[in-house]
Amino acid sequence: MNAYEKIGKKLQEAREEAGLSQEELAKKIGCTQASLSNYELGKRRLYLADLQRIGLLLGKQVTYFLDESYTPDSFSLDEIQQIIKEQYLHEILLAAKQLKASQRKSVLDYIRWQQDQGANQ
Amino acid sequence: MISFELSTEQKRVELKFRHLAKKKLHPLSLKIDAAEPGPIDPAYLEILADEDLNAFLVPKEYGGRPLDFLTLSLVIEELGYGCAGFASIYGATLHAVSALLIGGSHDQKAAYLPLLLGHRGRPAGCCITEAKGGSHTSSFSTNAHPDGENYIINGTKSPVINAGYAAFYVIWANTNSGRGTGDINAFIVPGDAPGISVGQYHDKLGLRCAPSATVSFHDVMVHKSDMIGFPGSGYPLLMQSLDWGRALFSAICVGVAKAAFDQTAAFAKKRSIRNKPIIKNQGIGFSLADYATDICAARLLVWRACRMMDRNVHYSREASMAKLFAARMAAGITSDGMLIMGQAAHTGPNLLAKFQRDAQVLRILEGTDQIQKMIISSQI
Repeated sequence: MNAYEKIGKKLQEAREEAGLSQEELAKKIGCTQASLSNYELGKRRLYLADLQRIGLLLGKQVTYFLDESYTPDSFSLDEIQQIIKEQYLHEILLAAKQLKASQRKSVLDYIRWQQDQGANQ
Repeated sequence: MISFELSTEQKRVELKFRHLAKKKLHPLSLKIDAAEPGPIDPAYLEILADEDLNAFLVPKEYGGRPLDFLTLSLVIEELGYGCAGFASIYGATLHAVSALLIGGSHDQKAAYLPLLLGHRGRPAGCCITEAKGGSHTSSFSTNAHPDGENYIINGTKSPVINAGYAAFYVIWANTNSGRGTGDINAFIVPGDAPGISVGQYHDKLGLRCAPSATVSFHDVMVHKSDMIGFPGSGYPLLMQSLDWGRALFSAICVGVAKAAFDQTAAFAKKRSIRNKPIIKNQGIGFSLADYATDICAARLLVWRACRMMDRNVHYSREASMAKLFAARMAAGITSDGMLIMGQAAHTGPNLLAKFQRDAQVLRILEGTDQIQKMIISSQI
């Protein structure tokens, strides 16, 4: 996988995490769906200004796309292994793995709603 | 709307620089090409400053007189017509400037771009290639180690055109923190920064008029504000800068091919065998027809890539197509020209022989044919 394929894969992940279709994101960044598809497949080079614009739209720092070791909250592997030992987290992760990206996004939305509820109580 | 017609201003620019190419660059280049490897010839530095060529690369707000990319390609083609080495000196400055224009801050541009302008204007240098890395542009052993508010740069870049003469260098280095391409960063380093040393000038097959050397960085300290872009942005910055360079270096190839063609065609019209100019022989005439067609096709590929740059749409594939076609064509036409001119091209100081050697090196500069094919095929 070359560097632009890796960047494209992260772009796809970030788009799906935001719950946007290729058509929707393409419209927001002002390109065609075919162009966005080529970016995601690494067939077209994303220039710096594009990455900045897309990062802004998807709520990601540009380093998210460029840093090959990036994990969302920059946890180390050891830390992640500790976290999933906590109650239900391992099961949630395994169950979420079976879901489509859009379904995972719904689960994430529900978790955030729960967090908001907790904060308001 | 695509126009194949140059504007009056573009035609004026073309004529002006064709005149410079024939009257000044052709005679000077033969002399410089034959000399031992050494620093940039003072006459070339004088032309760069007198014509204030760097001003074409610099935005107005920093004191420049910028040209659109298409018009800039016309200037570069004519410089290439005169001397590919001179055009490459200019091209190296263009490369360094491109990185600043793509990713640099206002403060960086305001501090460094004026150093290129006017009678005291100097070239800039771009430090990308490393002896062991070759065309693997994301694998840098040159290291930039964070140290408080600074970075400490250590490593060696080679070849570097304008080495020893650059007002500033743009250098790509690796911060080696396990982030892969996210570790590549670009920095601006003043040409006289402590810790920079320049090696012997290279004895080259072609582009002998564009001196290049190894530049070593030993504990060179730069402030973090000298990083271009933000941490981790060096890789896309480099790729875009290289795309930019490929489109415009293709124009040098067109210029070299055109100069070789003009010399060969003039010879074929003048040289007679059995009272008939050799151009009347189809073996020669048809070949010249092919060359004229190829030059025209290459120029249109360059124009297309430049037009896309002007429109700020993606030009990566198109820049590589222009470079692949134009460099291959220049190598072919200059080489075939040697066959047509025969003994006349092989004896004594001769521009065509220089064009041929320059064209071979241009085929490597900015990425070999194979690199261009990798880029094009990855985008199919």
